[in-house]
Amino acid sequence: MSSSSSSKMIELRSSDGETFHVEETVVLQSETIKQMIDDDCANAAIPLPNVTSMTLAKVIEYIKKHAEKPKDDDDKKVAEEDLKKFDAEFVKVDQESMLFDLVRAANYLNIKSLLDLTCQAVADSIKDLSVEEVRKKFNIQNDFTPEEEAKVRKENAWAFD
Amino acid sequence: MPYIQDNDDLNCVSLVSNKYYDIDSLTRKHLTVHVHYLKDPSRLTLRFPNLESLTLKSYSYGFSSPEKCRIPVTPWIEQIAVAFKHLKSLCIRNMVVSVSDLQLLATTRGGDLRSLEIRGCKMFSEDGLVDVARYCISLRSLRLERNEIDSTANGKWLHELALRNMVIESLNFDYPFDMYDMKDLTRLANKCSNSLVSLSIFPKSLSLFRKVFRHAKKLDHFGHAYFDEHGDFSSFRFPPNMRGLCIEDLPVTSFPFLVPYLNQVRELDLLCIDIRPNCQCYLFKRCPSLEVLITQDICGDEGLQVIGQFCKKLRKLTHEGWVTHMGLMALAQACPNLDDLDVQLLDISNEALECVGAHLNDLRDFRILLGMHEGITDLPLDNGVRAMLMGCTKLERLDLKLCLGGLTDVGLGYIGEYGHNLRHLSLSYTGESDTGLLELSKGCPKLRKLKLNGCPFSEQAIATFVFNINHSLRYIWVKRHSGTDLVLTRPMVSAEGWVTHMGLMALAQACPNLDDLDVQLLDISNEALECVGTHLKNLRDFRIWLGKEDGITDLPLDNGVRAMLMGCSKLERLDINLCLGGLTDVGLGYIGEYGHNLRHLSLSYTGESDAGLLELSKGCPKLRKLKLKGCPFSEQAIATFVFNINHSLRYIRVKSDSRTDLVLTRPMVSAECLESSGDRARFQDVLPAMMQTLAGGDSARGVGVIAEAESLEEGARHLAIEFVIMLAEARERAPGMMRNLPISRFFAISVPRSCAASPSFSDGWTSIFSSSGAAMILANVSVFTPKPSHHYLNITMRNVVEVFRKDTVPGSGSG
Repeated sequence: MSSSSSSKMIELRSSDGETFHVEETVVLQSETIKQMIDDDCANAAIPLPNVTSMTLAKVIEYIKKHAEKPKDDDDKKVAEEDLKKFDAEFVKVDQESMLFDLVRAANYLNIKSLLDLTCQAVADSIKDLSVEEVRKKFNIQNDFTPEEEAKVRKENAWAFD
Repeated sequence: MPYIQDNDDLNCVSLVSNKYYDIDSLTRKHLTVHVHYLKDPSRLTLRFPNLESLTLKSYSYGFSSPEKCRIPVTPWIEQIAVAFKHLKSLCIRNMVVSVSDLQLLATTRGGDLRSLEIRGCKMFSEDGLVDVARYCISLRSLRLERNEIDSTANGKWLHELALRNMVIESLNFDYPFDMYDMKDLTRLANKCSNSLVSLSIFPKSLSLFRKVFRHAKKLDHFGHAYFDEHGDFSSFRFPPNMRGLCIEDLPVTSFPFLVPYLNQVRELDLLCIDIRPNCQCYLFKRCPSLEVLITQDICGDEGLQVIGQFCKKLRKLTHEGWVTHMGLMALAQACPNLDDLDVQLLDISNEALECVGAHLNDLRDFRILLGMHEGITDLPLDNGVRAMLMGCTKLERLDLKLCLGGLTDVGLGYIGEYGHNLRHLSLSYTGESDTGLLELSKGCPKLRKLKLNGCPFSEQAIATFVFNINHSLRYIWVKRHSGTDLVLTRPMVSAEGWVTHMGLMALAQACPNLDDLDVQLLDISNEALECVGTHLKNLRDFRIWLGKEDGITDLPLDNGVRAMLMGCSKLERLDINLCLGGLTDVGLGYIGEYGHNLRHLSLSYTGESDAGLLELSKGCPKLRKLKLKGCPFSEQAIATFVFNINHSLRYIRVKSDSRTDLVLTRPMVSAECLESSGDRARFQDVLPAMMQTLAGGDSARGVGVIAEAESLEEGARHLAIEFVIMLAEARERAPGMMRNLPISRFFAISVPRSCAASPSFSDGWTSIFSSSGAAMILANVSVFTPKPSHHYLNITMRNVVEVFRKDTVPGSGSG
């Protein structure tokens, strides 16, 4: 591990009151927190009222992994592969709601790579699904009239690729 | 949304809810539009206002050639010109592209356009490209492929491009742009030396490109030169990064010349146009990095073995030399990365196909042509095809050109069952009967294009097929033994080839949701029309064209037309192009009686006499446009018609055999002139009163008043009378009315007929049209004179100064 013990620790508090201690170098991946640190608002625990402890633990797991730095070029390739595998495993969550929580957290904390990763995972999860399945998955009410729906369906099927 | 790449998935998302629909609409960046299926280009701009790249497609190549392109790109370019501010990339395929289209595109979107592709299009000349070169100065990529132009090429556009463009990365053009100046190309290469990476152009001698290569340092793909053995190759050198080469007509003696570059080459296109194909194994052995190869190598299976042995990275192979199933197996085992394979075989076996399935799991595109139709022992290939499809699960395109007996109906069933991802399927000489096609149609859920050549399927089966493939098949192309082509598209099934009434019936039975049908028929029957009426309840637009004039037995079609109209109660547009005797006056009466919703009616070679038109005019309450061609109606009858169709007919167009055209608009209404709704309402008020007047028997008096009005100029009076007579005749009251006219006066004022055509009478005259029903004051009335002997008053709301009705005191009110 490349982390040095001299690095400053930042305290994060989740919406349900749990606190997490993370090295500053790691937590800087969050643009939101970086801004707070820059503004000198990070002396006490940073409250994150939109993020639960369960989600925050996952987010920290992610940013810690992504903070690791490879030693040399050979190591770099291995690390890249390793990171890819980690990302692929990371978004394989048991509950879909967790994925959405992560999207929201990544958005709130402004961690672009995590946002991309989780959004892509959501997008992938609807790949090749039917309209009805997507509605069911996201619990969305169909507010098209039958005529509107038929029209769009026809247009989609024939005219647009 | 940016995370969803596949447009199929985006289409799905757009249907989830209104919110999703809106998000998709606003964020969609890339789109392919099948223009054949979207009639209204403004739909596109309404739905996807922020497009960055757009592909407009008509029938794809192979279904029609450029000269058969029919859909103009004009309305689309007009949309692009006013909307699509973010458009960076445009691709036009198989459409008609005129000079003005490209001008408009270049002058409106030119500054932002980075990529333009025109493929398989009918272009009239190169001139539009000059504008593209002039205004599209940010153009990074220009591709012109397989187009057609009427005029000869002159290369001015390339000259312009070389003058203006400094950023082009990829330039691609082929025949017919064969005239270009090497100096222009060299200048372009010089100005764009830091950007140009790909050049694929109409071939010239390789040695001529010496200067181009010296400038274009970054060039990595160069296409289409031919090797000139006696050319000057001193100080000739390819750019250092050259990865792809297309050089035609390479003689064996030239091979050593290429050797220094072969190690790095990834793409090689070695077709022979003018010289005999040769053994190219010498080259294959020296290309370890080769990924794409197009060759006519003559070494057969040995050549394939060499390729397999040395070109392990091969992804794409088009082999136009003859090989056998043994060579195919060797190749499949040696090159597991192949995703695109096109081979010509002298024989074939189930084992070879199984081998392809076992090894080439990434295959997406597989085309085989069997060159021998006799002496092949391992037939049918049903099991081989099944094994191949089970292995090559990613297969999207499959071309099987076999021989009779090569694939049975069972084999076709396998294609349906295992062709999960097939999008394009081309079958030649396969199958045994309609059953096979039916089996096939049960599967292939993603099929979009189907080509059939020399297959023993009936039209009924083919038409049924179109509608069995659920929600995906776009085009079907059939080449039959008789050499006639049949092209079907859906949902506005347009059968471009000729079909019979049997095919029409099959179509009607197979597709109850059809709302737009256009067919060209070789024969016709009442039964077929009845069938349309029975099954196509949603039909709104029906156009039939009878291509043969003799030998049709089931005439007239009166009853068939009646049954069709009774069934298709939503029909709004009907085009009937028949032959003489196809529809009698009775039939025309039926159209009037049952065409409740008809708005557009076009009749060619129908009817017998004016009585038919009269019968027709009693019905069709919503008719707006009427086109008559080659029908035996008098002009009087036609003029009468205009006034019988109450409150709706807007335009009449008549084409008679004498080739004179007559266009009538409703004499007193020219829609463009009715600007405000108030005007329209006023006119609506006037019209019934006038009609009532004429019907009421007082017409003669009205005419008489005008005719006798001393204050009027003669020409004006004359025309006013003609106008009224025309109206009167429409109500069949003309004979009696004529008797009641003050004949002497009437003839007196109508003598100088010539003045009717002179413009002077129309200046500043005022007429009082008076009768017991209504009166109006008209001013500045102009005349419409299609022929010297015929003239019509063109009275619009602008001419109406004042209108008086029965209940108002003349002279006291206006409007």
